[in-house]
Amino acid sequence: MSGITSLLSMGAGALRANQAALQVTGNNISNVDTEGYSRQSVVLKDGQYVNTFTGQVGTGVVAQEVVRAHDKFVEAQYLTKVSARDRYQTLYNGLQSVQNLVNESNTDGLNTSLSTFFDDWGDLTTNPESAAVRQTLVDDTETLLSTLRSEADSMRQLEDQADQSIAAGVDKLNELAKDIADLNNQINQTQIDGKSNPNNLYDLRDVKLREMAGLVDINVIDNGKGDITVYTTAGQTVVDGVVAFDFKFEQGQTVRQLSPTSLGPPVSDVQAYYDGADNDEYTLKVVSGGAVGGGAAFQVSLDGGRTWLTNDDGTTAVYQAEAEGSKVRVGDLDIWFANVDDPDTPAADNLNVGDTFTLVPKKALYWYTTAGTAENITPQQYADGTDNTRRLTGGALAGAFLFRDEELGEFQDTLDAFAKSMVWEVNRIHSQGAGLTNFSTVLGTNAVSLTNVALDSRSSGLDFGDRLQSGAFMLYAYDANGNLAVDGSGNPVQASIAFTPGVTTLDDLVTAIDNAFSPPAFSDTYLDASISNNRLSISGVNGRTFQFGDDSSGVLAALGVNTFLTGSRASDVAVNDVVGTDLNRINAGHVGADGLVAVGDNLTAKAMTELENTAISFYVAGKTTVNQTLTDNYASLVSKIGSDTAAASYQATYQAALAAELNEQQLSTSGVNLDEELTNMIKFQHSYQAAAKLVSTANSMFETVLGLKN
Amino acid sequence: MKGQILANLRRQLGAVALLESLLAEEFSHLSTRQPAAVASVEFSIQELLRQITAERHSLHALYAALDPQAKRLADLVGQLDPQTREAALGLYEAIEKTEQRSAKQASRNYAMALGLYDVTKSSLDNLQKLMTPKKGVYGARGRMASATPPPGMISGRL
Repeated sequence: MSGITSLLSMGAGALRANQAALQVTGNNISNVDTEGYSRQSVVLKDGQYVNTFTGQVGTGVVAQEVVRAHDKFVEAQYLTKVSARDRYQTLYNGLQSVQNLVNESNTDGLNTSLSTFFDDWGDLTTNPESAAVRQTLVDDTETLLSTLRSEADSMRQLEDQADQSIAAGVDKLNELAKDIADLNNQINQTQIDGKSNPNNLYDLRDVKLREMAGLVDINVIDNGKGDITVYTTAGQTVVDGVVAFDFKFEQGQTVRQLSPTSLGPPVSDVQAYYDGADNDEYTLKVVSGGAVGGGAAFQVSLDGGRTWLTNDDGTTAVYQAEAEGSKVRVGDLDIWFANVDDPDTPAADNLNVGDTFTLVPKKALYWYTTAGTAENITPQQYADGTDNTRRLTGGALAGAFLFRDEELGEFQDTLDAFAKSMVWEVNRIHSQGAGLTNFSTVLGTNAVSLTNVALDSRSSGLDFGDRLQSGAFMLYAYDANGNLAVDGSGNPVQASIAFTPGVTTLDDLVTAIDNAFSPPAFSDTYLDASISNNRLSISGVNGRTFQFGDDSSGVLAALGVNTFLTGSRASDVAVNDVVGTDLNRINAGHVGADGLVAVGDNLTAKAMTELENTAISFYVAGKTTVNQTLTDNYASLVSKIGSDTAAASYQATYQAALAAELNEQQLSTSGVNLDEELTNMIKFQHSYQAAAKLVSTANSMFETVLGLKN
Repeated sequence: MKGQILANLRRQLGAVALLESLLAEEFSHLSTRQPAAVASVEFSIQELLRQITAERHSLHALYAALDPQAKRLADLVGQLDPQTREAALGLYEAIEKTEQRSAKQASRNYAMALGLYDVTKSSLDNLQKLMTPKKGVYGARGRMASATPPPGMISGRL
C-alpha cells in the first residue's frame, strides 16, 4: 500500500495508538491512589516497511501491548523484609501485653505482695498468738497467691489469643495460596505473549504475595506467566503454578523414627504417649534397650535433640520407659509407652537403642504435601536462640508462634518454677512447725498416682517427689489433755519415721506410722495412719492428738501434710484449707525438746522471715537450675520480659525501616507520578492532534487529486 | 578546685544526657529514612563529642593540679572530703550509666544505618549488573566485549 491511502491508514493507526496511550495515561492518573497498582505504558512499535520506488517507507505505528513498570529484584527483597518486619512486629505486640501484666509502676503487684507476705511473718514472730496477725497473714497470702494465679491466667489468655490469631493467619494463608493459584490460572488463560498482558492480574498477584510474605517467609520463582512457584524459605511449596498446598493448625502429632533393629521385620509396635500440654516439643531417644517397664530407658530433648534435659546436678537425665500404669513425669508431661494402635494396650515388642519419638503436646502448624503427608513446620528456636531453619522463620505466623512457644512459654515456665519453689520452701519450713492446737486428724493435700512405688520415683505422681531426700520426720502423740502421751513404762509416745529414696512408698509410710504408734511398739494404739484417695491420712485414736516435728526428708511437705500452701504451679497455688479455716493451724512455733509447743514460740515464723533473703533453687525444664531469692527470681523474670520486649521493638523498627525503603524503591519504579502522567498526556494529545492533521492532510490531498478531473 | 571538678562533672553529665537524646533523635530519623535530618543531627553529635573531649581534657588538668600523678577520679578520690567525694562519685556513676545507654543506642543507630546502606547498595549492584553488557556486544573500538567486563565507563550501547 502506498500513496494517499497509506497516509490515511497511517493517520488512522497513529490516532488509535495515541488514543490507546492517552487511555493508559488516563488509567494511570485514575489509579494514582490505588494500593498495589503499577504504572502502565503502551509499547509503541513502528509498523511494517514497504519497498517503494523512493525506497523503504514505513506504514505508521502500532500500539503493541500495554506493560506495567515493576522491579522484580526489589520486590523479592521487599518480600524478605516484610516477613522479618511482621515477625518482630507480632512478637513485639505480644510481648507488650506481657509487659503490661507485670508492670508494677502504677499498681501493687507480685513484688509488693511478696514483701507484705514476709512482713506478716515478721509480725507473727513478735505476736505468735495474735489471731489478728494470723488473719492478716492469711489475707495477705491470699492476695499474693491470687496475683500469681491472675498473672498465670492472663498469660494463658494471651496464649489463647495467640492460638486464635495463628488459626486466623493459617486460614488466610490457605486462602491466599488458593487465590494466587487461581490468578496464575487466569493469567495463563488471558496472556498472549507480546500482545496482551493481564497487568491487573499481575498487580493483584503481587498484592497477594506481599500479604502472604507478611504471614510466612516466602521465596518466589517466576518462570513467566502464571508459572510461579512460591515456597517457604525452608523449602515447603506453598503454590506451584495453579496448585495450592495446604497448611493446617492442628493438635501436634507424635512421630516415631525407629532404629534399624526396631524396623524389623516385624516393625516394632511400641509408641510413646503423653498426658498434659506444653509449648515445647519433646524428643525422646531410647538409650537403653529392653522391654517397656523392664529396663528400657530414654533421654529427653526440648530442642530437637541438640541438648538433653539434665538432673539438678547437671548430669543428663535418663528416664525409665514405663507402661501406662506407671507414667513417667517429664517436664509438664506424663509419658508412657504402649501399642502403636492403642494407648491402652501394652506394647509387645522391646524398645531398641536409637528409637526416637517426637511428642508435640500443643497445637502446631503442619504443611501437607500433595501426597497427604504432614510436615511439622512450627517455628522452633534452639537453646542458643537460633532458629530452626527447616521450619518457618518469618512473617506474622512465625512471630505469633515464637511468642506463644518461646517467649510466653518460657515466662509461664519461669512463673511456674517460681510458684513451685515458693510453695516447696514455705511448706518445708511450715510442715516442721507446730500451731497453737494439736491435730486430731490430718489429710495430705498431695495425692500419689501409685501407692506402691517409691515416693521420689518419677512414676509416683508427686509434684515434689524429685526434691525428697534420705531422712526422717518426727511425730508426737498427745493425750486427751494435750500433754505429751507416755506409755505404760513412762516413755514418751513419739517416733521418727524414716524415708529412704528409691524405696519408701506411701504404703510403707502408713505401715511405719502404724507400727510406731500401735502395738507392738506401744501397748495401746495412739495414732492410725491410712490412705484416703491416694493421700496420707493420720488420725488420733481415743481422743489423742498429734504434732509434727523436724523433717529432714521433706516427705511432709511433698505429701502436703501440715503445710501452709497447696498447689505446685502459678495457676493452682492456694492457702491450705486446714490453715485457712483454722487460724490456730498456722505454725509459728515448733515442738520443743520436751515434746511440747511452748507458748510464744516463734521459731517457725522466724525461719519463714529468713526465707526472704535466702537463695533457693528454681528449676525450669531445659534450663540450668538457678539459685536466687524469691524476690530476685521474680525481678529477673520481669527484667527478662522487659529486655525481650525492647529487643523485639528495636528489631520491628529496624526491619520496618528497611521494608519501607524497599517499598519506596519499588514505588519509584511502579508508582504513578502525576506530573509525569500530565506531561505524557500533553505529549500524546499533541501526537493525536498531529495524527488527526495527517488524516485531514490526506483528505485534502485526496480532494486535490479528485479535483484534477475538473 | 574541688568545686571546679564537680562543675566539670556536672557539665559532662549534661552533655552525655544530651548525647543520649540526640542519638535517640538520630535513630528516629533513621527509622523514618530522612537522610537530611540524620546529617544535621550527626553534625550536632560530632560537635558535642568534641566538647565532651575538651571537658575531659580540662578535667584531667584539674586532677593533675591536685595531684600530678592522678589520671582518674579514682586516683584522688581519697583526697576529697566526704561530701565532695560522694557528689563526685554520684556524678561519675550517672555519667557512666548514661554513656552505656548512649553506646547501646549508637550501636543500634549504626546497625540501622548499615542495614539501609545494604538495601540501597544491593539495589545499586543490581542496577549496575543490569546495565553491564553481557556478551556478544561490540566495544567502543569495534571489538567484541568480554562476557563479563569489569566496571567502566558506559559507551556505545546506550
